[in-house]
Amino acid sequence: MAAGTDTLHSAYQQQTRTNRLGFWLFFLSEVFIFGGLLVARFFLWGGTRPDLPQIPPLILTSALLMSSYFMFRAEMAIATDDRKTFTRSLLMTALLGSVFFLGVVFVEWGFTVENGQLVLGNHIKPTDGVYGAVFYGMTGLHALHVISGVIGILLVWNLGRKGHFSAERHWGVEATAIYWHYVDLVWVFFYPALYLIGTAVAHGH
Amino acid sequence: MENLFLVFIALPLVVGGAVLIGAWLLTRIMPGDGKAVAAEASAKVAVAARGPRYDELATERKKGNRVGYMMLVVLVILTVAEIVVALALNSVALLFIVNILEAAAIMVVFMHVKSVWSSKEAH
Repeated sequence: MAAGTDTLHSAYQQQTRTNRLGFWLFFLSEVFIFGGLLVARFFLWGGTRPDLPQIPPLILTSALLMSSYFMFRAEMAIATDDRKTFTRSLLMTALLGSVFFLGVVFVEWGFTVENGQLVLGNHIKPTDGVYGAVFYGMTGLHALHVISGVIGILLVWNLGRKGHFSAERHWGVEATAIYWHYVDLVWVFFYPALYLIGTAVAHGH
Repeated sequence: MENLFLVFIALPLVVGGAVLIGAWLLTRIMPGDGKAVAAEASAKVAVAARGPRYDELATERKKGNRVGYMMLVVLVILTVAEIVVALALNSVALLFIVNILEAAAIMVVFMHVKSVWSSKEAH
């Protein structure tokens, strides 16, 4: 019986190792996508950037950093069989991730509801030349990853609530956590590229 | 110049501090190490029920939480440094170095990059 358990555990470890390697290869392919956008930003904007408000992205960056902390906490909790902290930390991560996503859509993009329709509001639009195109391309692709990460976290939360994971077997949690931290890592490069580097210029051309 | 100081140096410090205080407060209202003192008595009873690995896991948990706090502090400091370097010093090269440091910290601590070569779980 013990030998059978050992064999199963060994098979799980082998599978986890393969999964992990595959997952990192996936990240490598993602690096090319996000890297391409960064190259586009430096090629098209050069030493300039659109003159955008600084405070909202700083608050959103803080939310994303905090969400990464809670994701790490959730992962540590399941690895040490602390299920309550695990599920609650996952919910906090999803909440902060949602704050980031909604912040991008409604503050950074300035979407507003007018006559029951969602319309683009104030500052920068996708049609504002290279500034608008690159800005929406970068924030849009990142926001897509954020929302898919939030969905993944909620799926893991639901499975965790049903007792799906244990201290010994939690590859699903680890994978979701790595994905979430990757989203954070991408923002580490995008945030200064969009809001800090270069001379602020009026956009719209 | 005053506005520059306010927006790019004082504000990040205030926001960074708020992030740390917020994280601390949130962990206080959540179960786990935040209520460790209050739960100490019942935890002793739970030791017998949770089995022989309880102590080991509890130590691991404490260590992990400490690492998490430290990483949050490091990330906040590096983000503030990023803003200061980009806007006050206007140095893209230095900013790139700060970015790399931040990314390396995330990859090593949060993403367990070393575990790619390991057959064990990340912890």
